[in-house]
Parts: sequence; structure tokens; C-alpha cells
Amino acid sequence: MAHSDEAIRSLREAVKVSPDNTPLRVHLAQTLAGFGRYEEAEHEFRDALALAPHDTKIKVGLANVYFQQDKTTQAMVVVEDLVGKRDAPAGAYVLYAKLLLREGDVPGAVAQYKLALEIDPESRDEDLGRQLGVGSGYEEGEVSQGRVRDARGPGPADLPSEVERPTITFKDVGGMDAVKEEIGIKILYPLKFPDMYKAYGKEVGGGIIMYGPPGCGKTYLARATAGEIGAGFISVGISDVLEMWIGNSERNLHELFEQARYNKPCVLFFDEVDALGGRRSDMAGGSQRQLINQFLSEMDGIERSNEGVLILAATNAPWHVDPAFRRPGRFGQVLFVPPPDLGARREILRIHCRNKPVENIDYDQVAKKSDGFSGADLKDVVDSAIENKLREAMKAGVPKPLTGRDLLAAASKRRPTTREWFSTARNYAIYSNQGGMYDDVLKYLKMS
Amino acid sequence: MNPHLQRAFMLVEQARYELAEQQLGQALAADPQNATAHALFAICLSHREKFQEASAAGEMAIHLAPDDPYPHYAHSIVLRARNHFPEAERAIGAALELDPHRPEFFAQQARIQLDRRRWRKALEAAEQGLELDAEDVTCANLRSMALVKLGRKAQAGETIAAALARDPEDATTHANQGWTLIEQGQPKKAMEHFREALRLDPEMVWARRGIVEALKARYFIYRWMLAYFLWMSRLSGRARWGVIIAGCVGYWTVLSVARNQPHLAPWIMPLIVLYVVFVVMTWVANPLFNLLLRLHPIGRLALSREQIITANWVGLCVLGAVVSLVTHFGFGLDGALLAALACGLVIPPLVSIYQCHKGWPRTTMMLITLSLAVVGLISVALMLSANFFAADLRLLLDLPGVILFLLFLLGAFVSQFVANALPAVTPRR
Repeated sequence: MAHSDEAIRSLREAVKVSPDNTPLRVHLAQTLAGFGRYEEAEHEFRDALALAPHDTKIKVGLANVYFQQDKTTQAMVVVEDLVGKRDAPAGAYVLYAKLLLREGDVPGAVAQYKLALEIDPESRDEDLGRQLGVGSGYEEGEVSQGRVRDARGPGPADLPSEVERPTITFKDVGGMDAVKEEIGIKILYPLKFPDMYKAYGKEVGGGIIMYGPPGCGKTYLARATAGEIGAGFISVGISDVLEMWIGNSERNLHELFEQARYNKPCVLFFDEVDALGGRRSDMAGGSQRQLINQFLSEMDGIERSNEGVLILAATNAPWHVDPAFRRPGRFGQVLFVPPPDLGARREILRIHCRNKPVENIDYDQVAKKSDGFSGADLKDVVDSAIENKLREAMKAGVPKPLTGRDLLAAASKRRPTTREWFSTARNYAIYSNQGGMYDDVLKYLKMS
Repeated sequence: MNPHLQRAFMLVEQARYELAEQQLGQALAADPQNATAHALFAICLSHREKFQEASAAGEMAIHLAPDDPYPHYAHSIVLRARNHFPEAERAIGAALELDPHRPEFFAQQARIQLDRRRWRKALEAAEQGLELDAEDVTCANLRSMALVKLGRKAQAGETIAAALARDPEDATTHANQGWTLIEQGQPKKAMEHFREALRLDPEMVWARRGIVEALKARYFIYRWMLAYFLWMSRLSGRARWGVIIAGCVGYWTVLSVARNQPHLAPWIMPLIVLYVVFVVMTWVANPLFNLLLRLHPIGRLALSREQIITANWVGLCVLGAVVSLVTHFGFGLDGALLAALACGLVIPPLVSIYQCHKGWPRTTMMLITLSLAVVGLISVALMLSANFFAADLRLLLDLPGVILFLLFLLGAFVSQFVANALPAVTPRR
């Protein structure tokens, strides 16, 4: 350290003596940059450029310093100006390639790097060459983006979507004991006690598909599952899937899985999975079918192991999901999430009435009168009861607390939204119950 | 294509119209002038029976892109759903003028022709569709339906067999095969195909109706009745009336012959009894056998709500008639015979309630049945209660009872014809 300071100080002295000596100032700047003191180097380069505004060497140096300081835009302006001229040095092209790579334009970066090598083979940059797959060790041709990412290694910063760390656990899910137990046996224990499973030679992974009427807490349950084991949670909704249809689909999907693998243990949750994995015969375009194939190969973990990654999916229409998804190792387990039972309804009502002015509410009675209601329906019941109370309060001028009778009145006015779902599900359960997939629906409908 | 629109197409394919509408709303928010989205929106709305809005959306789509065939096609689907058949035919004609190379347009044309009972024209349209794409399953199905109606059952069977060979996973083809087999009098084999159709598409009402018929057709009495029903359904409206009136006239003529030539009576009477039994069966066979199916493990599930309701009421009427007959002959109660008659005469209008299309025809039929039942009930109650009073009071009760019963008989006679006519009416929606 002392040695470098010594050298720089003597150079500064020299510059002070002859301030118009451009090569000397450039040397100082380069030395500063060499020691990683980019800010000072930038300053010196700028002074030098004021002396010799057309010197390409100084411009390259300045751009490089900008690049090192992550001032991508400034660096880009300088480099683009340089490259636009005829006699640009090879170093400018190398830098341009680096900048393009940073912005994600891999083919552009490759083209620029190759230009640089043509002008001066000595300008080779080992790191860049490896990242782009250009150089002696690589064959000519189209460069795969995967190779670039491999070189950089997966890091959370490179990947889209946020990883959530849910704080809710199974304790926060009212009722649904049967479903919780099922998830516990099928997927939580393998993740909690991986050694035990390893001892028996069983790989941890695979997925569960949850189905049931809308608004009955499938998403909430998935989040609680992640919270229960302290795993990360990545949720992929319908809009993410639709975006994948436009392009870059396979890559986006791959990155989602990569992110889950990087953050393991992690729950990767696909909501409305029938949109992503609809029957291939239903899918209109080739891109959608390709997306399914990509999804399947990611689930199979052919290229990279899915160990420690729990893949959950939810759907209201399991009959529209491609049967290939349900093969063992993929979504091997199919779980029916019924509408909340009596106890669960009571809890849900209690949660929705929390922090609200209430008076002698018999939650048990309201729960009994709301058979078949989904969680969303119950929320609606409370909301509409409160709305009525508000209307009354406005008229009378005296606010009154919410009573059990109000809730009962609101509940009697509603038809459970699950009924429509069951009228469809019933048909599938009767006529299309291959492998007993819908046995739980039949049991719920008391038809078996 | 906009991904929302793409998703909407998929959802329509899966018959999830409500979700499709949501996606289309988003697609239209991004691009309010998209004619295809408006057209698809119209199709969704018509499936959800929001006909006014559906037509508006269809017209909007055509307005935005009058030279695009798809909006015309969508408009035709909406108009057909509203039973506006001539207009629907014109709309699909416009689509075909713009693009005569789409099999699904010809399929739509064939469907409309089937609705209008123009079997030959339907066959032509389906075959034109098949000329464009010999593998088009929809057109193949429509072709076989037209062939069945034209009485060319063997040819129809071949068409479907070929379609099944091409795509053995098509629910419609299986259901179609089932119905063709029913026409050919093979209910057992038909049953297999209906079950396969329902396995592939459990929501298909057409196949479920097929299962009900196939199960009932195992009884030979019903098999004969079914053959008659199917034969009637192939006839044009006028020919059907011809058959009914010819039956009536024949019945009266034969009856008068029997009266004038007593020596022929022993030969003619069985004929007349057979005819009466047949007429009664045309009314009650369907609901009575449905009632029987309620005990069958599969049939129980396949019956529709309407079929169950009708079967229950008809069962009640039959039970009432039997009880009345027993009380008349067993206990010699006066008027009980009339009660039995009343129970029987209510059945024809009752049965045809759910055969009528939704809307004013069904409401009218329901009102007719209801008023008939009320008049019958009051008159019978008056006459029966007269039994328990002294002679002078008896007359007071009997007279209005008899007058009302005559009124009931007149109403019953008229309602038989209404019950024949109304189910054929398709109200414009």
C-alpha cells in the first residue's frame, strides 16, 4: 500500500511541475485506476481530455473508469462515440461488449467482442470470453444464454420475482385439519427431516396440486406451508404466466426454478396452474405448448436437481390440467381443499369480526347457518352486514354494534358460490374419476 | 396476439365463459378497438344468456372490422343462440363470403340448417366443410346427424366410425355414435359410447340424455316407443301434424264402423284398445320409465332436474288414478271414476311443460296445466263430497261439480293439441 502511495505521490508531483504534459497525466490516471482508485482516476482522465479532446486512448480510459464505477450510462455515451469512428481501438470494442453484456444484450456483446479480436487478437479478455463463450475453447456459432448465466452463477440479484418469507403457519389457518395433516405427511416431514429420507434413499421434492372451489384458502394454505418450515415462498400468478406467453417464456420459467433452487428450502407456488399447464389439446399456440414442455422438464429436474424445492400448485379446474402433470415425481399428489367446515367457518367469522364493534354474536350459530360457504363468501357476509349497519347508523344518527342477528340475516341472503363449482365437479367425479382422483369430492358430496 | 385474448380463447374452448369475460375485459382495456375481442365477448355473453349485450357486442365487432369474417361468425353464433335462425344464416353467409375456406363456418351453417329441420341443406354444408378439411371432426359429426335425420343410418354410422378412428378422444363423436346406435336399436353398445363421452366431457348434457334413453331402451316396450319418438322427430312440422290427425280420424272412423257393424266389433275392439294404449303410452312412457330409472344406480345420477320433477308429478297422477279406481270399484264411491279420469287427463299437458322451450311457451304450458288441475280438483272434490250429504244438498254440490267437469273435459281436449303444438315453438330470445 505504502509503495503505491509513494508512486502516485511522485507522479502527482511531476504533473504539478508540468501541468500541460498530457502523457504524464494519462499515466497518473492509469496508475490510479490500476490501484482501484477510480474516482481520482476519473478526475485525472477528465483533465487530460480537456487538454487533448480527440485522444481516443484517454476516452477509452475514461469509459473504463466509468464502467468500473457502475456509471453505465456515462460509459455508454463515451464508448458509443468512440465506436462510431473509424479508427477506434480494440479496447473500445471490448468495453462496449462488456457494457452490452451488463445490459443483457448477449448477442450484441458477442458481436462487439469478436470485432475487437479481429482488430487486435491481443485485446483478449479471459473473463469476458468465458462469459460469452467466445474464444479458443469454444466452438463458433450462436452463443447460448445459459452459458453466460452459468459463468456468472445464479445470484438473487440476477433473477426476477421476489422471494417472500411468510410468517404465517398452520396455526393461522382455521380448521382444515385433514388437509393440513395430509400436507404434513406428504411434504413437510421430508423437508423437516431430510436425513431420514436420504437414509431410505428417497429424494425430497415433487409437487402437490391442490384443487377445490374458489375462495377456500388454497393460496393461504400454500403460504402457511412455507411459513411452517421457514422456507422461502415464490408465488407465480396468472398474470406472470400470461406474460410468459409473449416471449422469453422458457427462460423466465427456468429462472423461476433457478431462484427457488438457489433459495432452498423454498416453496414454489403456481396459482391457477390450469393456465400454465392446460391440456395440451386445449392450448392454442405453439408457444404455450412449449411452455408446458419446459415446465415438465423443470419439474422433472433433468438439468438441475429440485432437491429442497417444494412445488405447490392450485387450481379451480383440475380437469383442465394436462394429465402429464399428475405423473409421479411431478404433481404426484392431488389434494382436495373443501369449503371450510363448521369449526373453520367459526374461526374465519371470528377473524373477520375482529376489531369491529360487536355485541353478543353466537359464532357457532352463524357458522351452522352458512354451510357450504367459502372463506370469501364469509368475508362477504360480514362486509354486507356491516354495510347495512352503517346505513342504519346514518339514518338513526346513532352507531350500533354488529349483532349475531345481522350476520344471520346477511348469510340468509347469500347463496354460497361453491355450489356452482360443485355442480361441475360432481359430473367429473361421477363420470371421469380415473384413478380415484375425485374420491374426496364424492366423499364430500356424500355420494360414495 | 394479446395474451389475455389468447387466454380468453382457451377459456372459451373450456366453456369457462365467466373467466373468459374477465380476460376479454382486460384485453379490451388495452385495445378497445379489437374486433376479435369484441366478437369473442359476444360469444361468451350469449352462452351466459345475456342476449341483448351479446348482440350489441357482436354488432360492435362487425362495425369495427366489417371485412373480417370472424365477427360475422360470432354474430351468427349469438343469433342462433337467440333462435333467430334466418338472421343467423345470413350472418354466417356473410362470413363465408369473406372467407370460404374455414370448415368451422360451414359447421355453423350446418348447425343452423339442422335447427331449421332442413336436413338436406345441413348435409350439404357439412360436406362442404369436409371438402376443405377431411379430418374436421365437427363437420363429420354434423354430417352424420343430417344423415340420420334423412334415414341413411348405415352411412351415418360409417361417417362416425371414421371420425372416431381419427380422434378417439372426442366426446362429441362418442355421444353422436351413441345416438346413432340408439337409432339403430342397439342400446347396449350405445351405452358404452355415452359413458366414454361423459368420461371425456362430464358436462355434456347431450350424452347424459343419451344414457337415460339407452337405459330405458332395455325394456322392449320403451324401445318401441323410442323408435316412434325418433321417427316423429325426423318428420317436418307439417308431417307430424298429419300423423296425429290421421291417427285421430282413423280412430273415430274405426270406432263408428264398430258401432254400425256390430258383427265386426270383436275384431275391431282389440285394435282400438291397442291404439288407446299406444296413445296413452306416447304421453306417459317417457316420465314413467324415468321414474323407474330413479331406482337405477347410474340412471339416478344421469336424470336431469326437469326429468325428475316431471317423473315425480306423473307418478303422483298415476298413483291418484289407481287409488281412485280402487275406491270406485272396491267401495263403490260415486265420482271416483271421474277422479281417475281427471288424474289421467292432466298428464299430457304436465309432461309437455319441460318439453317446451324456456320462455313464454313453457310458462303458457305451465299455466294451462295448473288451471286444468285446479278445475279438475274442484269439480271432483264437489262431486265426491256430494256423496256425504242429504239429497237436497247433494244436487247443490253435484250440479256445479258436473258443469266444472265438463269445462275440465273441454280444457283437457284443447290442451292435448296445445301440448303437441307448443314444444315445437322456438321463441326468439
